[in-house]
Amino acid sequence: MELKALLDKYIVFIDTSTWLYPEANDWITEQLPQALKESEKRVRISGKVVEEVTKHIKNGDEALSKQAKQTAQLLNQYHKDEIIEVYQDPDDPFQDQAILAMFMKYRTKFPLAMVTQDRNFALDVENLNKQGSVQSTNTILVFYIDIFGKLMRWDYGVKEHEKRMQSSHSSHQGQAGDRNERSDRNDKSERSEKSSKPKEKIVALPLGTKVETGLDTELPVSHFPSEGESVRTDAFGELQLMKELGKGGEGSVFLTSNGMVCKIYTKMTKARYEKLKLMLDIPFNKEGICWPQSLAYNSKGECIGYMMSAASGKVMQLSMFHKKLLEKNFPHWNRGHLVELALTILDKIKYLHDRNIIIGDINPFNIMIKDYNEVYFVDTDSYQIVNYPCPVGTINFTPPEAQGMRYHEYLRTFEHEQFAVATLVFMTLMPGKPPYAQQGGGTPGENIKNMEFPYPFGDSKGNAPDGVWRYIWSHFTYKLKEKFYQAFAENKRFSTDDWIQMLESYLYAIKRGHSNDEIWPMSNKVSEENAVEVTCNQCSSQFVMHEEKKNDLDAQGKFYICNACLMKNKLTRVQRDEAAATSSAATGKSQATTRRTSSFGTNTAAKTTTRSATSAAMQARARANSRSSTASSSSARMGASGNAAHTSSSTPVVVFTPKPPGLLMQGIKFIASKIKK
Amino acid sequence: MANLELFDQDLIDNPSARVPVCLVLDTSGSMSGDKIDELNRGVQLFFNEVREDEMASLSAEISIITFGGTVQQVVEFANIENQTVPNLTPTGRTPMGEAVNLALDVLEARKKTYASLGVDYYQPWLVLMTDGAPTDDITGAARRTSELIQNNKLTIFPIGIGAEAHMPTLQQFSPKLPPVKLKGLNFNEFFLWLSQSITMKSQSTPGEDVKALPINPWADLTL
Repeated sequence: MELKALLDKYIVFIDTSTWLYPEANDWITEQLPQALKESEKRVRISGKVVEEVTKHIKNGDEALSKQAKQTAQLLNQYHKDEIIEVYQDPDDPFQDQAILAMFMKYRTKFPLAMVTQDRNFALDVENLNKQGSVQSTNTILVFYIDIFGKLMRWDYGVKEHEKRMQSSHSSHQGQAGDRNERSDRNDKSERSEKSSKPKEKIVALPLGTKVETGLDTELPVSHFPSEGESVRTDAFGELQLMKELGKGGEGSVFLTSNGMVCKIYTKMTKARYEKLKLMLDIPFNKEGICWPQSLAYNSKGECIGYMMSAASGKVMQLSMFHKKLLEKNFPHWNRGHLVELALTILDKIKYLHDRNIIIGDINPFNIMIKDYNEVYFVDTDSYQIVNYPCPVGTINFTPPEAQGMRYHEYLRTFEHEQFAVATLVFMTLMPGKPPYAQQGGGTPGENIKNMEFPYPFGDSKGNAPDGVWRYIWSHFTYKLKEKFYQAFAENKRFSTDDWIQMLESYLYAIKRGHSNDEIWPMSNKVSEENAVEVTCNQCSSQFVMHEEKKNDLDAQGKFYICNACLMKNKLTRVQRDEAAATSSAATGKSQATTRRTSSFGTNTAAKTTTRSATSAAMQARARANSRSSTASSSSARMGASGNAAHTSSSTPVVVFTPKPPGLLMQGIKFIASKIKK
Repeated sequence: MANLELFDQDLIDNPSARVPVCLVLDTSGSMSGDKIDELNRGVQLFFNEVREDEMASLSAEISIITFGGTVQQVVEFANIENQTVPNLTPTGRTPMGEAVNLALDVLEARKKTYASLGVDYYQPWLVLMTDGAPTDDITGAARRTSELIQNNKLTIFPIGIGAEAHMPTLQQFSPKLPPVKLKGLNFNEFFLWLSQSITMKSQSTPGEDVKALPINPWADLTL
């Protein structure tokens, strides 16, 4: 429906969540006011909106407080333009309920519409249409603003893009789960039937309850075919093994004469056979998941492996988990592509989860990347199927509660899996850096067990790894940081749907220019209003610094050092320390040895240097290095300490005055006076 | 850049967990002839193999310490792309104890560098190769390696070359795994095995129990 048509026919309410939704900015500051003026209409808000906005200005975190401040100014502008009206029930402090009651009361008299980002609230409002004995001719319409800033209809508590995803792989479990909180089960199933377009029925496997016994029982196999030989298959007849594509611990993978791929084990166990049969039993059709398509047999009819579709691309680790690999393989990517890649991967994980299939061994060696929108999941025969566990795993993707447990001895839960999913999302957006890699700290396993997440959030400063990783973090949106922080520091687990939603809004923020699109930002985020340009005292390059930081440095009479120089100084210092540590330990002794060898009188290879000479040379280079820069070595030290100060405030360095500005006070006064009436 | 060796940007840019490997090689006078030639070929092959494997080249960091008359760190830890492999020449006596001590210092310092920059790493590997017996006191060095190995902070591969290699000495460095004698002068097979083991290791996560590959192709199993 056209916005103008909607405003002409309906009384439109806008909920706080939409007022504060960053992606709604364009709609709410441009399109809506213009349409209202043209139609000479007003939108309605409840008094709750004013209360909540005021509360966020005072108590919200920086990003939210900024958004709330803008909203307050906007509300004031709406008031000035006479395009807004406040609905308030002074006797009822529970505004959601008041609005619902009001909608209930007037829905037969007036055509009503609500705009909200809140799924549960949307559902409650939608449900009014079904309640009461009187079937109204007026249907209450419920809308949200999507990540592209467009006004969209909620449909039984489901967003448009989610419906698209549902119809593409026919799933609704995730949303149904979300809705459970506010509705009973009968109601839910009725709704999801209504919301669903024609779709195949999902056949979900039962979740495993206990590890199957006798897993290692080996089945007798007289011969495992290899390259050049043929295999028999149920589904594709007899096939030739054309070429060995790869070899692993469990067996080999061959390209076959029909273009598909055959995995042949080096030994066949009962567990493998039974698991494959279960996997083949359920309807499964998802592009990019190399699911078993048929068993494969040798000439004697003994099962020796399975058929699957061919994958394409390179394993994730080698496609993109280093700056130079990423730049080589995907030179045109920017950050938006990384987010889209994560969404492509999550879409497949969701398909599996909807069927109660737990991947288990999520890691960058069994996902292959062709492009951001084309990926392949391989090694699917290791997935956890009912009571057959995934027998393998890696530390980085194992949650704290399962660290040290032997992968083949327990059944993973969705909670376990969700930790792995969060880790994969993190390592996709920070190409290759595991979430718990940090300065100091213990082994990866220890860091995970202690939930020592090193990136700064709120009051937590963190000891994040040096370099670009901190900058990437600083450019994440507040919501994304919060989500990672909750996942890795507070051990909260989020569903695949949660991550999809999170990343869609992050992607939108990037596309709208609200968040940095660079994969490798060169510095922390500094908001424009606080940015000052300074000259690096070391390399004379221009760079941007937070105003407060500059003031601090000025007050202390310190130099401005750019990030590249800070990094260089730290690296130089660390590597000089390393050289010094090994040379001092041995100087005396090795010189003695040198003297001793000279008496043997044989030649020492010209290329090699004795240890003490090496370290002397390194130190000379270090001195040359600090001389070559304009700063003295003391300024290099300062730079390093400055680095610490710099990074300690490396959450977005955006500072707002806590006191509401005058204009805002006027706005609040106006609304208060309105409320009294 | 003028200070290339001191300024290894890859330490920060590369997110892969590192496997520091220190080769502690006997280059004493007795290694002259075929032995040193084969060793040089083996080391060269090792560097090439690691360089050619995308994963190993991002993970492995290699240092070489020789003991032949003097103890020298002939290759310092660095990104393998920037390293050159020296030609080793045999000379002098066999200060094995001092060499192992230096190797442990060098590995410890490297780990400190990783930790202070926030780079994940595996506990280091130390390859000790000799064709004879030490000419200095090894008890201190052997005590250090034994302690590290018992605490899972080091993996050592002690390799004896030829009939004169004093295996009981090598045993002192290695409380868990017995030393292995190289089959003939099969250095190439050994270093191929080592690079493949590093590749396997680099596909795991630090702390995971990754067993090195079976050692058959290069070991003298008649020992």
